[in-house]
Amino acid sequence: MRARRFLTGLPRLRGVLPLVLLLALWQVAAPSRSPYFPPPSTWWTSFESLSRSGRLYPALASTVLTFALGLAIACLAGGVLGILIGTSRAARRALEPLLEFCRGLPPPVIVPVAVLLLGYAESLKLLVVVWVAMWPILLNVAAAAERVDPLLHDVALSFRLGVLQSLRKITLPSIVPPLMIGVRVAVPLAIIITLLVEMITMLPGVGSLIVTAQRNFRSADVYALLVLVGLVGFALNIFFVVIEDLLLRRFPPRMHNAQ
Amino acid sequence: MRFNLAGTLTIVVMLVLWEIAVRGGLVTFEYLPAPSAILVASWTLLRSGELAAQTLHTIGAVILGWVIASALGLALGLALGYSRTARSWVEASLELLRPLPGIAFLPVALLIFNFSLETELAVMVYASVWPVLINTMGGIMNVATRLHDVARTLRLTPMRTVTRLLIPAAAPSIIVGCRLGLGTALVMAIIAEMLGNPHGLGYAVVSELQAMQPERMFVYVLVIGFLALALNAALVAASRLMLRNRG
Amino acid sequence: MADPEIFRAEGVGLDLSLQGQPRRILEDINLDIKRGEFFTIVGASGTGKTTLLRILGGLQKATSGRVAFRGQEVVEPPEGAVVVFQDYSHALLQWRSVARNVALGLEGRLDAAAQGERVRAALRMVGLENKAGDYPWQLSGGMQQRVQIARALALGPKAMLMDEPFGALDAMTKASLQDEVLRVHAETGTTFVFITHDIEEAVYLGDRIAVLGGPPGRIHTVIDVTLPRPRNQIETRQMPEFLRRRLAVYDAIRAAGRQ
Repeated sequence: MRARRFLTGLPRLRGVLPLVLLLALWQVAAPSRSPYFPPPSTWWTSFESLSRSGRLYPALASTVLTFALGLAIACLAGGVLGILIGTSRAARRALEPLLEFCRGLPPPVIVPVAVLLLGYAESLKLLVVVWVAMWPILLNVAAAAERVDPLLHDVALSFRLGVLQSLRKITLPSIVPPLMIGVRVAVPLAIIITLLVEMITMLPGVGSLIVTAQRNFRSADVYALLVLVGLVGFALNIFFVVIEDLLLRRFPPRMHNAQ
Repeated sequence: MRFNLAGTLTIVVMLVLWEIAVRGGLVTFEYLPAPSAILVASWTLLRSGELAAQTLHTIGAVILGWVIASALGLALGLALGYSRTARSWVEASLELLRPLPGIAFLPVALLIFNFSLETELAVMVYASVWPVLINTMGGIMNVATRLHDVARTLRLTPMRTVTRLLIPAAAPSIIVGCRLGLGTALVMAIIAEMLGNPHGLGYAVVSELQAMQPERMFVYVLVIGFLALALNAALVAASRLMLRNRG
Repeated sequence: MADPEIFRAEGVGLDLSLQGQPRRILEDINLDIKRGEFFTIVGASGTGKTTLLRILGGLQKATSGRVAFRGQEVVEPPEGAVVVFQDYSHALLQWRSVARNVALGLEGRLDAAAQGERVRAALRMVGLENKAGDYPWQLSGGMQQRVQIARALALGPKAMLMDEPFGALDAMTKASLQDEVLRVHAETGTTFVFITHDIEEAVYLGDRIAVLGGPPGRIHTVIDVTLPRPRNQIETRQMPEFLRRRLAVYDAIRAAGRQ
């Protein structure tokens, strides 16, 4: 079962109480100079000083840009490669063990490999995100391309559609739902990997900001950035839910979930 | 499983080309090691016991973290799946927390626990609870409506309703959740070892990178890949075994 | 002193709020179901037959009026009454063997030996004693429904409430199950409350037939069926009395629909 966007329809508002209570208790119980659990009010102060220092927004921009660009390229690459692999039985058989291995390889492992091969270049960030985000999309598209109803092939033949036309009118539209399912999986993955690359390589971004704060024992900064990451993640989630809704509106509901 | 000749051939050809490309200086990646060099390095690491030690650490940590996360996720998922009231009081908070990636908690864990196993476990457990919780909750909610009437007309106690009806009926979803949780645990363990706990396969990869030992680094990379495959295969086999009675 | 009436409904009604609109599902239901009788309830779709059965069985509470089972008010599923559902594949536990399915209501109440005895007796009564070790998904629809009936019988209930139990089965299986249910009725003296939309089934099985009209569901008439027992698929259905009753029910349903 894939994660649904809202677990059971719009959740009751009173459900925020546990979180609110936790933060309130924290605020009251923690000493304001606590090295491990600084109270939430200090997080806000840190956030303000971080944004005033001019370091926050460029870092945020870098992270979000890398994520967005990486995801876009991954959609393109994953979509194209997915169609190619899915429609060719020979390609599928030949590449199957390789694909299985790459699919199972935990994404963080790619980072050191990329660093080894490419050095600490800015392009490294983008390439790693593309690689990691590409796999769920590629595999989903390939699986769906493989399963395009053979009846549709007959339809294409009887209407004398050429290869290019049948690609455009039949294959391409049928891979939009699985592509979106792949994107659904790729989005959280891409966020994690972007942050991870920044944390390991200390290339500019929110990840390296957090690590710097942690190494300097500025715990309020760490929590402030944690909340920021959470909010950005939340916003991105909603954004992609809306996009998915728009794109999948005309497809029957049963195609909205993984097969 | 039918033997995939084409697939195996592809891999062999790829390895041969790789070897030739590196040895023949055809490739511009300065640090890319040849497959033969990786093989030699793997033998060295095996003999010295280092490979085993790091692998065992990661496996142990992953299993420990996964078990804790599964227990937590199951308990919470059961409670929330069974009781609509509990859900209404908690769900919105969960939805707000869910998008927060586990990796963002790593620096927090480092602040509190320093470079230790606790850091690794904390990050693993936080991230892995989610798939178990969500799938368990969804599974129970799915079956609760129709099985609830059966339980009531047969006048079963709540305990029996949960243990004999709801959990077995939701078992397929619960097992999927646990499988996803294991995958997540492995990913987070590696992340934590790369940045937070100087033990295990993740740490080994990064330290070999920094020591400029590409062959040894690749050995660890491949071991991680095979470990992921092995864990998943083990879980698939186990879930088939557990669900063998069903149609 | 045993109550001659096993179920008594007085002024029973059900009001629900569906999608913000109040809706009356049942209105002013008055019933006296006698001990040992076979009481059928017919009506078109939407007349609330299933809801009425659920209220009698304690699975739902009426919003007005009173239901009594053996003299006691029904607020929850009463001891001695069991509901048999139409969707047998979901009402049975697919991961348990037939024998363990039948034992479900007995667990924790009887020791293992007594359980085994009751399970065997129940399976014998529905003719499935040699399927005890099979799994529901290995059996046909008719057999699965018999397992559900056996499960109810194992409890030795005073009343069996059946919600269109044969609705999903083919004609031949339906006929054989009808006779099975009549046999159980004759052998055990259990009271049956049987819902169906099949007029012929209602006449073939019942001692009395309540015709429901609506929505909102109201009892239009209660028709006596004085056909001799034991009943026979061929002979009984050819009797002039059978045809007269069938016509009476048909007319009643039409009249109820026009109100």
